[in-house]
Amino acid sequence: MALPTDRKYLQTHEWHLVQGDTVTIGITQIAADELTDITFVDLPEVGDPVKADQPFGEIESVKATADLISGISGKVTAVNEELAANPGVVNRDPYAAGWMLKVKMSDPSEMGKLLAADEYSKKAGH
Amino acid sequence: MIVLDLATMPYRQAWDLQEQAHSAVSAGEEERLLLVEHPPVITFGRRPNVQQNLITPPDQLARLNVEVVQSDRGGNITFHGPGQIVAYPIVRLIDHQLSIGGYVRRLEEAVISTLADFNIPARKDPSAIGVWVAHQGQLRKICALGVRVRRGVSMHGIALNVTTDLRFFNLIVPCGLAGRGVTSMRQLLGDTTPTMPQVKTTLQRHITQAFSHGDK
Repeated sequence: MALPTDRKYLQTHEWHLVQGDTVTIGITQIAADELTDITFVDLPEVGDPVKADQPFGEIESVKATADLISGISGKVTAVNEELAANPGVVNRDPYAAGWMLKVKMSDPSEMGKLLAADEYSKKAGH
Repeated sequence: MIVLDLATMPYRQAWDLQEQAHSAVSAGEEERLLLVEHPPVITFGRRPNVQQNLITPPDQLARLNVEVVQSDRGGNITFHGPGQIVAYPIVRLIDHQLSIGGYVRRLEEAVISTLADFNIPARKDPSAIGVWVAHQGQLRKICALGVRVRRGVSMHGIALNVTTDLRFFNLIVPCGLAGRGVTSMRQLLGDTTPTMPQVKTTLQRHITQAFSHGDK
């Protein structure tokens, strides 16, 4: 699947889509494919703070558990409740229905440090 | 890579040492490989519905001296016990240009190479994790795998059945895969089964090689 160019990325495979002062965060198809069948997504709650370059949750598959990292700081305004019952959505539709968090940014300039799609693609080696 | 042979040590105690090693490696210290044999213990990941694969009542487990521990690794339910070599590599994935999938594959390959050294043809199964061997017309799991990657550094790892008493696996649905059997090197090799130290040395060599050369 082509990498969406409307958002920015961390080398650790999280995508960040800016809409106004809010960023939606999820993981890339590359990351979902690497993990194989995702069985559990541990997310923060609405109102919780997130910090740039810090874990905001964990994702578990049949073979591994891994951190989920945020590229920006701010406050969680929404989490994807669907993932509690159907974590496999992240495998099937990581760029839309498989979104994880919406965060109200406290410092939008942090987005400048994230990777464009082509840079991420190069770093991810795919 | 520093190798720490913990001999026989309970699961939680070894888990604490893993956490210490993880902090050290995260801080830039030399990577570690922990090798250990656990007293009988059933462990499972945190995801919902895994406990249904523990099909034995607590009083029976207590009678058998089998501990039950909820872990934070990936993967389903498994058993560890005497005769099984458990390896916990604590490595910085990025130093080896490895993704999580690539890391798991490299670990599986180290186990396959170890078994090949003892003339056991083992393989991966694309539909299930771990390392498998054909025995009596059925693919059976000889080595379980479950890892955690936190801040780019791995922990937990693999569990290879050398002389494990396989009856313990009847207490659970291994890895949640009903109808898939388990095996051990002894079941496959009988009297020619190598000793635990022999297997440990060979496994240690293949794992340290897998995470040594030319990566950084």
